[in-house]
Amino acid sequence: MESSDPLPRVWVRPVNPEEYPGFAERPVKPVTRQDFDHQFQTTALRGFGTDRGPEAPYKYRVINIKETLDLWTKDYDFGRVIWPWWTFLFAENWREVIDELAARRLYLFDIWGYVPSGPLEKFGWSEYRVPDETHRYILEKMGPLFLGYDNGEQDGRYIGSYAPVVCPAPVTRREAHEAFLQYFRHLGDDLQNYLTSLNSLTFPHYFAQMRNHRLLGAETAQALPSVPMWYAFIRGAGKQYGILWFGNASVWNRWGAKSLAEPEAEDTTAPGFLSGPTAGTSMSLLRRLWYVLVMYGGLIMGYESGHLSSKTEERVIGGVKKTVPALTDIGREHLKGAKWCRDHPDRGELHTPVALLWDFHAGWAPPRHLYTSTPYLVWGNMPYEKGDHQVDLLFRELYPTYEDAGFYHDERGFLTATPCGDSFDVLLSDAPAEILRRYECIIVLGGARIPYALPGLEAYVGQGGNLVACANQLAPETISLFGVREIGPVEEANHAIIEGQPWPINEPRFRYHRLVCDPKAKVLARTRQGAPLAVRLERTGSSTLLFASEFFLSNPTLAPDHIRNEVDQPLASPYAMLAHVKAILLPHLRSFTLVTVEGPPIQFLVNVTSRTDRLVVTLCNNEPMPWEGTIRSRRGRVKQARNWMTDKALPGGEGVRLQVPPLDVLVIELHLDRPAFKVKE
Amino acid sequence: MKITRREFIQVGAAVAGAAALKVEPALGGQGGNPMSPAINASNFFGWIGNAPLAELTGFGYRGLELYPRDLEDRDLWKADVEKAGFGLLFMNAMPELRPYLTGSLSDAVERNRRATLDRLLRVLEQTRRLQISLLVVAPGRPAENYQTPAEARALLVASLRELADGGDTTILLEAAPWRMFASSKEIAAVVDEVEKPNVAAALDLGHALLNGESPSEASKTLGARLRYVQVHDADISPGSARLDRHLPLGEGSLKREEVREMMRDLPFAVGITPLADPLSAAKAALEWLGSAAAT
Repeated sequence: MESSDPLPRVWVRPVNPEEYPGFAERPVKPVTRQDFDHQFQTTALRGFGTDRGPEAPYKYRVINIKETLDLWTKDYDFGRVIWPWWTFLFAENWREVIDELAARRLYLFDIWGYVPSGPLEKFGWSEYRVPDETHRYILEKMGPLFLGYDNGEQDGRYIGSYAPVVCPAPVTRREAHEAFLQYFRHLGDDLQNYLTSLNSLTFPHYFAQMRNHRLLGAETAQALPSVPMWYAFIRGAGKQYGILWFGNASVWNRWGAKSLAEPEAEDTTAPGFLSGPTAGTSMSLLRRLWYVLVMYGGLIMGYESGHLSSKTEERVIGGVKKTVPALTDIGREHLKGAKWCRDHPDRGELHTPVALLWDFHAGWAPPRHLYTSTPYLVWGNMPYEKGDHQVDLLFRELYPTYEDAGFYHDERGFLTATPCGDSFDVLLSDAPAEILRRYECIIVLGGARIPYALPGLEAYVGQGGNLVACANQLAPETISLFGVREIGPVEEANHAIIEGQPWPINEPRFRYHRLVCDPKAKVLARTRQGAPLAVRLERTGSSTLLFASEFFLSNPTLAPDHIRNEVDQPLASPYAMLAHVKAILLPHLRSFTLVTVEGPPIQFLVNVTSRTDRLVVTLCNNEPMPWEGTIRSRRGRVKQARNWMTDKALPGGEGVRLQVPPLDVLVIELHLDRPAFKVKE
Repeated sequence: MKITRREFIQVGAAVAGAAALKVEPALGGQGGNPMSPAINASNFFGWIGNAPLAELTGFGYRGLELYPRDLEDRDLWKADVEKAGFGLLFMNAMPELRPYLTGSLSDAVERNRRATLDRLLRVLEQTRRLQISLLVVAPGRPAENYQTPAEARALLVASLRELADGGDTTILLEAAPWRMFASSKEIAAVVDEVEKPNVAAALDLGHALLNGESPSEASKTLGARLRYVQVHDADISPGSARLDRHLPLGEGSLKREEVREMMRDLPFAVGITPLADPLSAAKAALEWLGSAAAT
């Protein structure tokens, strides 16, 4: 596809934490790429065995340290990142473990198992405190190879179990944030304030902002949030606060866990949950998650568990025959994924041209999730307001069925089609101008009014950015930025007329502000009586787009008592995103993608490097039928294309015709006959 | 030894409080105006120092419910409180009893429970100095693992006994939502098991609603153990989010006739956290209570 538009200016640089202000002074430094030898890493072992027995529960030793590490890093090269259960820290020979890891130059990552209210002496899901001596020794021996203790799924735990008992419930979001911090200060103090977050909800910004984390990540799949939406948060937090992120996919779902230890066995509920070859996360979802999370820029990737079978087999390792546990499908997929990453190192950075920006204290969480049966809460103890519904309903357009992740047996919502591309990051209002300017478009969302970030946003538009907001989010001093002279009283309408279209669109009733526009502003939609509903002001290389409607939503269309939150059922919203807004906003957002995708809805990502004539496109087919369609660059013809899943060349031309098998993923590299973008410096 | 509600009011809160501040008892039916409740100024105004105390007494408030953190800067507000004519002070320790965040009386992690107790014992020392006669506490939430309800209860009982032994302040246990022992029947049973003369029960009307109890039924269940009532509203209508929001009276599911019964002979405090205009909310709360009394 040829476009006469000027080339978009695209930010292509990776996050390098050491380039962020204050890095040198930070007592807990985020992991740098140098720490990882500039290599992508994969996870291996999840725990060491011990000889702890009931007769002497406090005196135990870690056993078979070398053999266990050999199995996971040599017999099978799962990776260099060791991700162990915490109890080895209290073994008599804990120093031996640290010494061995250090000698092998392995990473010690996300020591897990901390759960509030569990006594240490249970050596299970316990609330333990890492002794100073232990922590000092680990740092001394391992230095940057130690990646932190696990802040593991604790945002969900707080939101579901602890936020509700805050009495009285917070009135302001600032108070709610303070209660959240009370929880995480306790956790940080117990774990030496040296943490890695394995998020289970959408709070990575708050962890990054605490400055005691080394990495951000998430436990994907399970019964946890939708990944495209979720990693918009994690990437955004990483970029805003200068901290790198990782990926991980769980074998659990809401009903049980995949176990392939005995592939011929029937699923069973004997462990107290459903377990077996067909239980838990499907292999196809595990596979898709690997490639999607890698292309999102995850610095580490791994599967939670289930790599090895209870059966053994003989293998020749280093010329020696050895009996080892056989690989499961999970183990095989892990090794295949790791090799694919080694074979395709030049994956570039995910192109996320659009930032979704809202107030720092918003505490937004998806409308429903694993940790509560009460839908539509922020911070776990405050009800959604209309601005929170705005975020939800926009996400429902960007990632259709995202709100269903974890609620359906058919796994819908974990990965979704992306009608506007997988192109978004979430930023909070404390993002500095230096971060804002990296984005080609910013949408202001949520309840807080714009002035909180106005200086940054004014500069952003002045430097060529494209800004989107609603009139009710503007304070008087902001309106001129949007080509509006006056924001008048609130009125109501039930229709909209889009310029150039002959017929009004019927809408549910909605409130809007009467706008008096600057003559330079272009009205894109109006009422039959001429009241502007959408206004664009073009400047050289930048634009603003303002919707007159309140949060671009209807008035309530559904009473709260009609909303049901049930498994395998959709979750209704009490509001609707207005049709005229969808008609204007969604094409606007789509215009920032570097490729067009012709075919049925599909998830697509574009990765970029400083080579402006090269794009790497990931197509993730989350449907159980084959996908067929065409990928085109918005600018330039495809000279050459290569399918990275087969390493075979594909015919070029105006576009590339592709098939993606059901529930599978495909990554292609496109070389164009001319630049598709300019590098933003 | 158990004392009756009447005895408690006569010799407990009212006398001790009045003695402390040299004013007549003003709360409850015993020698006071039933429309003279206490107010939790921190809930309304964020901090006592922000509260327009004279206006509040002008409305008819006669007592103050404090949070432990209010003690830290009491020199800043104590004189103003006395000058404004607040006759009684009560202590609500709920902010110190947010399991894991601040503390719990049944925490399975002993160092956490010990820290909670030590903090509350320090609060009790200060309440004695200020001659505050009541300290409201609540059970914790169940431990996530490795603790049976019986074990949690044993820890709660032991903690309450230790607090009770910390002086003559009356320790009042109240039910709170999403915690253990959330029914008035369970609270009554725990109070009985503690078997200390200065351990009794409080009833939070909003909490009762959220716990699925009718406030008047809860009051009856608690019987003579009930020494103090906290008033705020909670919305339990179908489809509403069940949150401990301490809503203004009339904005939730609380019924006037249920409140009226308790206003007659018990000290009570209004503990709303209004979204805006706290002064108007404080006034409106008294008007609502007035209409409840007239029901």
